[in-house]
Amino acid sequence: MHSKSRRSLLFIVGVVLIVLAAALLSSCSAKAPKAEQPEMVVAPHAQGLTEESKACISCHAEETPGIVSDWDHSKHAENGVTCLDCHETTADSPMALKDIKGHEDVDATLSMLVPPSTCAKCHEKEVKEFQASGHYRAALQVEAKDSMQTLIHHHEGRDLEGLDGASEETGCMQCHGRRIEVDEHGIPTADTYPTAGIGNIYPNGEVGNCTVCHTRHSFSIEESRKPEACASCHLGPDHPDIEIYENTKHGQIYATEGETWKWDSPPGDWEPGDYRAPTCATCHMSGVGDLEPTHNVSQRLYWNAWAKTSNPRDSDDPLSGLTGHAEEGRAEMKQVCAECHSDTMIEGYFASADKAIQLYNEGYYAPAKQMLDDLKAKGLLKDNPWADEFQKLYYHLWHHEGRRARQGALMGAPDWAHWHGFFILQQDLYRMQDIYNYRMETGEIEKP
Amino acid sequence: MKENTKVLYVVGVIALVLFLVPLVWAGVETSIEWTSTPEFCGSCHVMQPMVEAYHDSVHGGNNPEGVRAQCTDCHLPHNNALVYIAAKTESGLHDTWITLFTDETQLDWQANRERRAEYVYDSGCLQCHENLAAISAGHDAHEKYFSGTIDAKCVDCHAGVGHENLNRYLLSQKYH
Repeated sequence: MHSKSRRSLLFIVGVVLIVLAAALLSSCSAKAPKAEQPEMVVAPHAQGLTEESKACISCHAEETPGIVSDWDHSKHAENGVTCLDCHETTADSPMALKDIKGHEDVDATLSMLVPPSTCAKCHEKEVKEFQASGHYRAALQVEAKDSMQTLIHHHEGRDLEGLDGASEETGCMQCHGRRIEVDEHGIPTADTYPTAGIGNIYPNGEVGNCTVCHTRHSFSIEESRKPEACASCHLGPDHPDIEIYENTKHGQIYATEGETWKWDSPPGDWEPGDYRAPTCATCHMSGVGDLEPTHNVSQRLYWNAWAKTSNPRDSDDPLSGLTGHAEEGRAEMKQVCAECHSDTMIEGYFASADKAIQLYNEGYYAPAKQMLDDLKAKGLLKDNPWADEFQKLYYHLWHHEGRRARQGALMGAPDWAHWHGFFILQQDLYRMQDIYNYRMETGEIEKP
Repeated sequence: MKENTKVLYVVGVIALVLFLVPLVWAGVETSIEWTSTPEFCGSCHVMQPMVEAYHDSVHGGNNPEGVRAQCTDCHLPHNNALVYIAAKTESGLHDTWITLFTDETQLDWQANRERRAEYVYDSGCLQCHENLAAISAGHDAHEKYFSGTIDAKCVDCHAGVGHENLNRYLLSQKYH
């Protein structure tokens, strides 16, 4: 009886094994004929590829595999947003590519440049908010300022034919953006492209660049929420915002455990709990608590903290340095803070920060400006501001040290508010006073 | 005499049926309606974060017009009445079982949210957004959705739809 049941068990196990082996073999042999006519899978994660898109990808997977792989891992690929959805344009567009080598058999009218209106086809709200923000004027303001153009081409570029744009091409425009020009084929010119700047002005007049924070071709929300997305521009001696962030307790927490946080929550639902400390995007943009997410980075600001003197914001014009509304902005920012902090802490924090702004305005900028005006009235300033000790100090006072003190104070970074900020400010001011007194007493600019 | 009784009997039955059918219909309809509301669903403690987040959202009436969708508008299939009733019965029994016989405080809602496409039905979305297909031209993702070139559900892209601040409410319930 016992051995009988064992035998039948063995029989069943045997049958099952044979069936499994047969299934395995048949599945292998079923795959085999496919291998004879291989269809190259270049974008395994992508959905909804049209024939035209497949044609793009089959070449570009060879020519620019990085682009294809980037895109293939993106939400765009997952949701069927393919090459032509962004790179197809109308024949009358100034950006339309014409007679491009290697594209002879492409019927669609293509554009290499992708302006924000293309992104707005799906992300309309975000693009509109961006266009109302200070980011919008990034290139327009550089272009409009004569003093800036003189600095770039004359002082830095040495007026050297063909070379005087180098500082702008490798510097300014990589953050600020540039008016992009195209040649007769619709290809952007080497003087004006590539630019990774946020305020790019396209040949059709559109302004903006979404790919600064959501880099090509993965366009990731996770990436843009990390401080590094802002850091490639908001750094250095004149607006060390990433260094300021690192100097804060928020930055400390991010640095020690940020890699474990949840970065892909939907907009409006990325909340404390997903993270233990805010990043740039949390405070300036995210829909934390009852707040609506916004791509207008100026919206939650009270002060202009970068101009020569700081004033409360009160303008709807993105071209104004005062774009935003101080009281509403501060109220929103306090709502962000209140997700984790008590009213006592929040009120105390902003009271101190506001004091620092006023100290800069009244204690440093006002006297510096008064001395500058006096010297100017008496003709005691050099024509070349960049060779004049007084004017150089004046520039550093507001543009470097003054911003570090103000932004450091507003964003909770003690080292930047103090040692890189107010400490240097008093040194600047004393030195300026010495030069001022000498010039006023002797009636001459000091000898070289 | 006998004939008369028979006629009376038949008339009586017909009258009773004519009286009962609308009554039963109204009763069933009313109970279906009632068990579709956030007030009903939120009567279980475990659903409260979802209901609070619903009230914050556009779909929960937080819009200038004050229109709101009911829970079941999104969370039951709307292919046809039979499928709807079957799914309603099945999910109703499931939820009752979970509430009565398991420790529902141990549910991992963040993990459940990840599989949202299983319990938010496109047929529900399209019941209200009925003209979306017609106006999807030029909107790349919607165009591809309707042409069937992509295999995505509405909530694959619109991840937080219907429940604003859900993350926050789940968190506050956890530490309540």
